[in-house]
Amino acid sequence: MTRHIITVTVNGTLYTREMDARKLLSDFIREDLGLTGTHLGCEHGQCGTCTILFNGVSMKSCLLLATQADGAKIMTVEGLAKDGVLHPLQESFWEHHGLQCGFCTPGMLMNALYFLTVNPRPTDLEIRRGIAGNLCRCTGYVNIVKAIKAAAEKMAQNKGA
Amino acid sequence: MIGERIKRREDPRLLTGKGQYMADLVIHGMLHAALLRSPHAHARIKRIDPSGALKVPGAVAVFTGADLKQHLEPLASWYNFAGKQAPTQPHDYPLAVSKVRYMGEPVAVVVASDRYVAEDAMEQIEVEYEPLPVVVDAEEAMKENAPLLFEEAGSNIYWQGSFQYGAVEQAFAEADLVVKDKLYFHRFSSTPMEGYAILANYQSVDHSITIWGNFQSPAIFRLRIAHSLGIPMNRVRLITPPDIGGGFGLKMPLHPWAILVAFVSMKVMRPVKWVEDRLEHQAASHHGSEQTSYVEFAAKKDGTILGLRAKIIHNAGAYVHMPEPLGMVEWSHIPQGCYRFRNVAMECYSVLTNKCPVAPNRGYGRMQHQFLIERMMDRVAQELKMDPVDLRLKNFIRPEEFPYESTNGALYDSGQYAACVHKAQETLDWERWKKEQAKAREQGRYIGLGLVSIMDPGVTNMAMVGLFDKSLKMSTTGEAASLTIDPSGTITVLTGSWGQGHETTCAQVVAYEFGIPFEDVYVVPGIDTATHPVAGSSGTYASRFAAMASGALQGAAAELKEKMIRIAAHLWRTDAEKLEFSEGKVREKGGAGKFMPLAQLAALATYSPAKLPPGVKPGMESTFIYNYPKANEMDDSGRANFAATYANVVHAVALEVNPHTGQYEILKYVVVHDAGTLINPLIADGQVHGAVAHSLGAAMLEEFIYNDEGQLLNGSWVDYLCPKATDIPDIEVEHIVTPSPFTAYGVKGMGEGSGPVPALLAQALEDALSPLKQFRITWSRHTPEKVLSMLREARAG
Amino acid sequence: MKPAPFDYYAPSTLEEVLALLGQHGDEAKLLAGGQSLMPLINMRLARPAVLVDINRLPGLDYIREDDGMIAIGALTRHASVASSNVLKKSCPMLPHAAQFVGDLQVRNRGTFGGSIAHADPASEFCAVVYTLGGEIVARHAGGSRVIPVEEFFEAPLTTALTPREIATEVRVARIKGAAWSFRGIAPRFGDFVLAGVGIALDFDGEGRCGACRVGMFGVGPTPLRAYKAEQSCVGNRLDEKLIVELAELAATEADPSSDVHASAGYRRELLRWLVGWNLRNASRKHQEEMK
Ligand SMILES: Cc1cc2nc3c(=O)[nH]c(=O)nc-3n(C[C@H](O)[C@H](O)[C@H](O)COP(=O)(O)OP(=O)(O)OC[C@H]3O[C@@H](n4cnc5c(N)ncnc54)[C@H](O)[C@@H]3O)c2cc1C
Ligand code: FES
Ligand code: FES
Repeated sequence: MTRHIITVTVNGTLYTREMDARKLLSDFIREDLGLTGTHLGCEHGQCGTCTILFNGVSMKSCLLLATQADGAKIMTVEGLAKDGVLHPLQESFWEHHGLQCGFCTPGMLMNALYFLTVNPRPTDLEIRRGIAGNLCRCTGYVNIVKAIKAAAEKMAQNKGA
Repeated sequence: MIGERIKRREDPRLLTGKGQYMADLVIHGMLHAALLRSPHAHARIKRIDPSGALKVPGAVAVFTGADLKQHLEPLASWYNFAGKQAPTQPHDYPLAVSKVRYMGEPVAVVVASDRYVAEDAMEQIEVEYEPLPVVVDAEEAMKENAPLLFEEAGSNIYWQGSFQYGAVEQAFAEADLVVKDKLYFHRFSSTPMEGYAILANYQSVDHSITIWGNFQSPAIFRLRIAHSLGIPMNRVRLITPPDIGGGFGLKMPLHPWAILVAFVSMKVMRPVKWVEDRLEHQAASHHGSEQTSYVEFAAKKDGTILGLRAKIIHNAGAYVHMPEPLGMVEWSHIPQGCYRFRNVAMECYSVLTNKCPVAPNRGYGRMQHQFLIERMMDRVAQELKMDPVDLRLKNFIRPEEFPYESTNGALYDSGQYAACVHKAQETLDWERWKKEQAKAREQGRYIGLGLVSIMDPGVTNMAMVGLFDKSLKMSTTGEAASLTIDPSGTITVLTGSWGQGHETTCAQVVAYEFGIPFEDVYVVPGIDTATHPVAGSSGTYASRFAAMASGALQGAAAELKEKMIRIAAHLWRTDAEKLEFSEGKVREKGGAGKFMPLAQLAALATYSPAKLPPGVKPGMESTFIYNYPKANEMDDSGRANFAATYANVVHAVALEVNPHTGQYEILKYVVVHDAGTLINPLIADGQVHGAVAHSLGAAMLEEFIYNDEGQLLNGSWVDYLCPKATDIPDIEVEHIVTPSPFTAYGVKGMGEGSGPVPALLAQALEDALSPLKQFRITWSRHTPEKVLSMLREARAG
Repeated sequence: MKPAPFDYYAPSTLEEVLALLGQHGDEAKLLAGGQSLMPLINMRLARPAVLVDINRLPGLDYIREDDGMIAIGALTRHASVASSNVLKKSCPMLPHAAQFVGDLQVRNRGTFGGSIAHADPASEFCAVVYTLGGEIVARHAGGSRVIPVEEFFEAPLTTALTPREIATEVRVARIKGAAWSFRGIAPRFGDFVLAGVGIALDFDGEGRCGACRVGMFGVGPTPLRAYKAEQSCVGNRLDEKLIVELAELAATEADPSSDVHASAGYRRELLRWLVGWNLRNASRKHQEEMK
């Protein structure tokens, strides 16, 4: 098995690490970088708990190899709050009880974050379709949809202001 | 404080990626385990050669069932607990010994430097199987010549029992109408996003072991884990981490793999971790129970239900893991649902088959029973040409009849069932949908309405185990809590069970009791059996938390308040009667006179014991074990109050069927819930949403499908379809509050009351198609394909 | 669930890719978006000895119009297909279909070339290219060839590509006439369909059908065309009677199979309804266009 050295920026920090070819990016983030906010619900691309931003767009990190991240900019849930201040999406999930066990939450937040960049003023149906790649077993999605909608409004206001 | 929609305290860590789930735990030097699993549903293990595994660089050790059999006691059951042999399968080990009995059953474990290597090594183990005839259907398995899972038992019937309450024969003799059906409740599970995971660390120096796991009830199973490992119970320490990625009951049962991983740690003398992956979870963790029922309902012409007679056959899978076979008798919480009839006969069979073992799954055992009752209510309504809602209203237990002792001794605490129905109809806008329905029918469209009404009992009285063995005389529903007030006046809370939202709700209760700010109460996340108090049935299951933990917290708070009053009375040389505890201090009644804040009292009790009145112990700590006051032992006729609280729920739906594809769309969904006093309505609503989503998933999408060879055909999430955000409608939740007269604050357990969703959809689908034909849906998963075949049947005439 | 060992290369030129494929043959696998391959690798159902990652190849991410056809570079992501203005104008069926491919994350990573090369019989993209007509440009160390889409899909997950070839471009015909329609039915939103249909129809000035293409997917080992239905359509008015006939005819041309999600019979029934629905929808669109 080939080994590889990569340099990758995660949440603004530059890391250089060596790994086996087969190391999944999800495992690399969790084990090698110790960022355990990215969760693994299925490891076969179906649940979205491992969603991160890869060069600015949402992807499932269990379907990427760590080596593929060489030179990339990655953002995980740990990079969402800035200086201890929660991101409006995080605030909104909190406010609307958009999480219960919290296992799906990091992936849900990262995908919602990307989704709102492509659709800043979504309808409920668009939100539901936008997060169709993220399963949640606890909330029935009801409050997640509310939370994303409210966050979208807040973020649009912040932009306008 | 109680009743406020307070934002959850646990959320900031979960929102920022700082949650601590099992997979996140790391101990220096730990090894990683992988399990080799059987591809066969039933086979003899002719030969197993694990030696290849150790040739893989990084592999450390490998064990098989034979190793376990040599060193461990088999898994405990309720029967072992009573000092008897279980009826069958005394040879249940966490790895198969000589035979495999379901696809996915583990046959060997490898430990290695990391999971990748462990899986490489696992592939090098050679196993030669001799396939045996397979039986997957419970009724087939009951037949005389069926292949036997445990030859030595001579039968696949693990357990059978019959129960009679009231005058059943007479009820059926007096009936104007007897309706009969065979109903099937399918196999699925709420498949939490996080699988099981275990990390075990054995210390040979003192022969002790610490096992971290996402256990829903470490307290209950510690004894059984100790039993298998042969380590004294006081040296087995179980720890549940702060965060669990969903349990839904499935993480409640006796955890064979906790024992396995612990065993491996003992052998290799290093910490060992195993994280169940998705494929392992789907095939072999545990499934919800599958049930076939032969049911008869007796009724009068006017719609009065007289009695129920049922033979229920529970497909238990290949092994019976504690708390099974309890699922078989969970109907005892609610033998007749929300209705008044008093004649019930149940004949129950727990049958072994070559499928994955079953376990509690949200609505454990009750879901199947509620499905049965609600479906049969609809059948009676159909026969009598009565409105199904009217039939329910007619048969409800009336508000003035509470507390109502049901025919088997279940003591229903309180409720206003009809009011919930009316509220549900109003919220759904029933009349408007009736009009829409009529209009749609003229256009050849099919709108259906449905409404069901069910019980959501909370808390299991362990007396229930008496139903399958009378000599098991239990009566615990207990929960434990301890409160410590430190000299700075902040309070630390420890409880015997742990689940979603508890950090917040416990803090609410304690802040309320002492009249102090919410922020001054800290609830220690997680459970550690070395530090947390536990009661006989501590655990996060059967919706027991709200009712039981609040009782324990209230009890502990009461003790501390009384103690502080005694101390103050002593210092002030006054009568304790003249003092009260309010707003964080002891004060003279009325509040105008002297007072002393709790920080001062706690400091005094901690640092100045000489100042305490005689008989008052130093320190400001109380541990309280609360047992539900109405939890009794089962009597000789099989009667007891098998649960504690009896919340009720009404679900109402409007849906439309696409006549060309059989697909149906939920147009509106309403839940009216009465769980007594709600500690935090925000959290309560979330519980309802989640429970409905599970049951809607089950009713529409989810089913574990096996073929005749016992192969699970949809073992990944590509094929086992959990509902996505696009599958679950907006769910409107309304509450009616009828406090329980028996619990602290009048709370009731809640969060599992969605069992009859499969019955609800069945009723609404029948209603939708009723202009074409009067259908009788006897199954619980309603695929578009089945709906379309009904449409075809109707069109064919 | 962790991948078995493999060697990994991420060349930055096509020549290197072709050399690696030449050297390792069927021991090697190309890795594009990984949205189909990685799940199989994680489950150890695919165990290539060598993975050749093509994501670092420059110049394969494009959508452009070339003499009557639209050329799509193999590394074009599904999300780009969904939002492409060129496609919205000249081949709107593709961006429309793209909405139903998996989910947002899958569309951000999955590639058009990968989707075509993977050849899932229920793939939306395979279906559209097959329905409208097109060709696949394949390169190997010795040169290149252009494979007509009719000859490309051989069986489920099997194409005319050899292990030493890479698809670099997919060309799909423009939709010339005004009327098209596309719809599939999946168990959940974004899942692979149980049955799906794509239709492109020309009408003459009299409202009679001209050229007609009826594609079907999820109902056979590869995407299919309902040739008999297409022939019966030409020169006729699309009235309700004809629509029912065409739907019946198309249903006989499908070859569905049963699995845990649906029986072959149900798939066929869905197909029959979908053919009718899509014909009506296309015809309605045409009439709106005329107004
Ligand atoms: C949750 C989920 C849902 C999905 N739902 C759908 C759906 O509804 N409809 C649908 O159509 N697809 C669906 N997909 C699959 C998705 O569209 C994939 O992106 C696509 O099928 C494969 O493209 P890829 O770039 O990811 O290819 P990869 O996974 O990288 O490769 C797939 C195969 O094609 C080969 N290959 C890749 N590129 C080339 C090339 N240029 N030349 C030759 N061979 C090549 C690879 O060697 C491999 O064998 C889903 C995937 C997921 C994870
Ligand atoms: S863990 Fe990556 S999608 Fe489920
Ligand atoms: S909050 Fe538990 S899975 Fe979403």
